[in-house]
Amino acid sequence: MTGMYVVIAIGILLIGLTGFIGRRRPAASMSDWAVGGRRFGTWTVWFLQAGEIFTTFTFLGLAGLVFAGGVAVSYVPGYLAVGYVGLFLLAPRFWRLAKENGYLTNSDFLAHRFTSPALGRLSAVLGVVFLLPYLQLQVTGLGLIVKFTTGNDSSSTVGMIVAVVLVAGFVLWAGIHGVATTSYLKDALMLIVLGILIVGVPLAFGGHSEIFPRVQKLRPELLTLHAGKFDQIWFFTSMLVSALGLACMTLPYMWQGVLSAKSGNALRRNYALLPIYTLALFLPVIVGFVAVMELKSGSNPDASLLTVTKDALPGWLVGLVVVGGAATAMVPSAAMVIGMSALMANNILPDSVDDQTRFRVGRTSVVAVLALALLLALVRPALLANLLLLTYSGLVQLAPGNLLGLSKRRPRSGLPVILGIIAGEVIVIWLTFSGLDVAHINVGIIGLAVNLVVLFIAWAATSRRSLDPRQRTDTTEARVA
Amino acid sequence: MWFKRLAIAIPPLAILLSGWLPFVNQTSLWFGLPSLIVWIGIWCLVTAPILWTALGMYTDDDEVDAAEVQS
Repeated sequence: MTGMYVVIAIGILLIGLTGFIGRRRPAASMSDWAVGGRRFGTWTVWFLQAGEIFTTFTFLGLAGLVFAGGVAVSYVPGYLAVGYVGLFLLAPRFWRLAKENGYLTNSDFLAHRFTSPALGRLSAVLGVVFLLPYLQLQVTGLGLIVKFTTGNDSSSTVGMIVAVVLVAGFVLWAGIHGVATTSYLKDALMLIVLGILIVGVPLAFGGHSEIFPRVQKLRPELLTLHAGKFDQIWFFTSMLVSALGLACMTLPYMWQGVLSAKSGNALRRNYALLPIYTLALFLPVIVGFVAVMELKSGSNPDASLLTVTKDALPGWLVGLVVVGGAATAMVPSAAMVIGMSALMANNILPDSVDDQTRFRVGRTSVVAVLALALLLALVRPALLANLLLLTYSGLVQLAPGNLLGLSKRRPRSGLPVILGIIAGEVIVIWLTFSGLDVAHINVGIIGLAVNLVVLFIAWAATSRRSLDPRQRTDTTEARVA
Repeated sequence: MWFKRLAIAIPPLAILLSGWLPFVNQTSLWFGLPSLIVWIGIWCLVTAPILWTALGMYTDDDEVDAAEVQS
């Protein structure tokens, strides 16, 4: 047990310290801090974005989902591969526009492409509001990983506090460079940890060849998509909405990873390689199937991977697995907090604020946002649980605006996009909390359909009006903005 | 060139529609693993070389994007 604690303590400190070596001196400008001066090559971008695949969900939710949905869990690697195909086509175009026009965030892109600061502010507020519960989930997840393995509440609290302080420190010091260096360590750790899990856990429970024939005999329903919550409709629409969100870069923290690349081709090469990396996600899924067969009914599904790990491996190796889990919380948290702070500093502050003040506000926001996430994780971990349901389906409502923003034929004002986003969000919130039966269709897809209808009607109406010389005024765009 | 553009669309379609392919969504095992997992895994693997071979096709798009920036 002592060996496990030592490995966990050294590991978490090492992750934090690696972040500090990302820069020799602190970043001096918002662009350098948030997107690394747009100088990262293929491999750095690859590590940055490969690092985003593994979050605390890999250690907690993925194996837990095997309990409920069996092979339906494969929608995760599936949507990532589909999303990377979309990013292969779209990300270089986002990157080029961002480079030419100096965008640092999704909201910069929307505000400029549609000449609408109001659209920029709306998307920034949505980005911060929907991402906060996801950030808190990473902190809570880190605490749960420590708690499930040590069985000790105070170790879990100390782990969360130390990790958040280290993340705040290296993000303030090194910005996106710190995320890049910790990503190298995280990816190396993840491959080692997943290797240990996929060899050690099945061997301890009778060998690889025994797992799936037993599932086939005793729980065959876990091997197919079938009628029920996790049916084909759920599988298809969940995969589609997640892939669209990824391909259209609707998660605010994705922008820093993409904009830090030094060329569009570096991004394309990166997205051509990333689908191979998604195969690593099948390893915790296989361990999840071991857990289904070995754990008693009534066990906590989210703790399944760590419970079988504890049963199968010696203490110090369990400690290494926990360090891998801590990395999956700390590195994405750092990327998220940079994305949220950039939105607050660049897009929510009034236009009159100068660059140095924006940079100061951005760095102050890092401390404020992380402190809020930690406080919520410690005091009211369930407070934002409902909001978490909206993270993906809510943020994907930015997809039509992002896609149209790439096109020459786009609305010349932000109003149609704003109305589409509002309509989509209202539908998503209503369907999520009303409990209305939607036949297992992901509510994000329904919201997107309404979003698109409203957007195109408003676009048609506003473009007809702008063609009418009696109604056209030079100040139309300014009023909308 | 058209077949390379078409080839890019194949993995997303094969993955997205996998739940409705009767030979994939069934209880038998392929190589000792669930067939759906193997099917999606194979397409994740195949996506990489397909995108890699398409890399050269999109260098012209950089000029299109540059023109787009001016619009």
